[in-house]
Amino acid sequence: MKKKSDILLDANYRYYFDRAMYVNRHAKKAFSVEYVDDHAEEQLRQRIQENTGGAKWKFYFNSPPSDGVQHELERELEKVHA
Amino acid sequence: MPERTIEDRLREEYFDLLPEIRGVAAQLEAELRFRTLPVLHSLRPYEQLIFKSRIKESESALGSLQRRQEGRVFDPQQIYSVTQLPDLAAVRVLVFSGEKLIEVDNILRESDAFRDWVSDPILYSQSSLSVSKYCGYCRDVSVRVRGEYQVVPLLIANFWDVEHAAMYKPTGWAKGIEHDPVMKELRAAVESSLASFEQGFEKFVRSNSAPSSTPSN
Repeated sequence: MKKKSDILLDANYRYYFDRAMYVNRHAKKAFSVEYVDDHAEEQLRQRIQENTGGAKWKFYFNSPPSDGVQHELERELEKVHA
Repeated sequence: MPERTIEDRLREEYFDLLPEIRGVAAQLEAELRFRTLPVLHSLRPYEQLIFKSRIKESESALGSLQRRQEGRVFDPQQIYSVTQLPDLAAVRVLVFSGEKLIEVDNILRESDAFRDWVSDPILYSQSSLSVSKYCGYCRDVSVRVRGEYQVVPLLIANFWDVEHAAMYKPTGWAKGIEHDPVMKELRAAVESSLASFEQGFEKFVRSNSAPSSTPSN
């Protein structure tokens, strides 16, 4: 059985240490470590495959981030991963 | 003038509370030493009972609070306080041997000073072993700052000290090392072998020591 982190790494997600998230800048999707820990592998695979359009960042968190947090993360991810 | 950030406000709160944090650390250590005096006086020559207190530094406090947020970002719509942390003032009670550790843990848990403290054991990495940890208030000193004490096997505590200083303190030096699977396995192996050494030592002493080697009270 594959580890959850391997599933994400295989799908081109990279671990972003500063924010403890797995990030794929092309898909514009990010998974918090808490979300990864608390969800089953199958759910994780479904979320990885989920088509979000790719225009806006999608954050998979256990508690959905507020607008302020989302804005801060988007700003940082665009800068760091530019 | 730039707007004050959440971090600025938390730093200000921390330094306002610092005298109380120091007071809690001093009170907690004194209380722990006092309650465990009977154990201290009954130690065998090879046994040890050591107290180490520490005050969380301001940046560590901010980092701890931030790590509790998903995404490690403070939400501007939330109110944060460093008093949310259970370990601004903390004392580690380091004990060798395991037999004495259980005695110390029981005495402290049953004492009036710590009766209402909350137990929150630390699990060793990838193992079923755990270390006792409690948090609560020293109400004579502060009703805002919580204290924490741990009762830890001496060998494990010394390993944690070195490991913590090497892996986490130099900022950016070993970022993310706590998630590295190889390091996780190595850490678990060290903890497990230290616990085995302690158990083996005690077993040897029990089966080889003469009855007269036990100190009389």
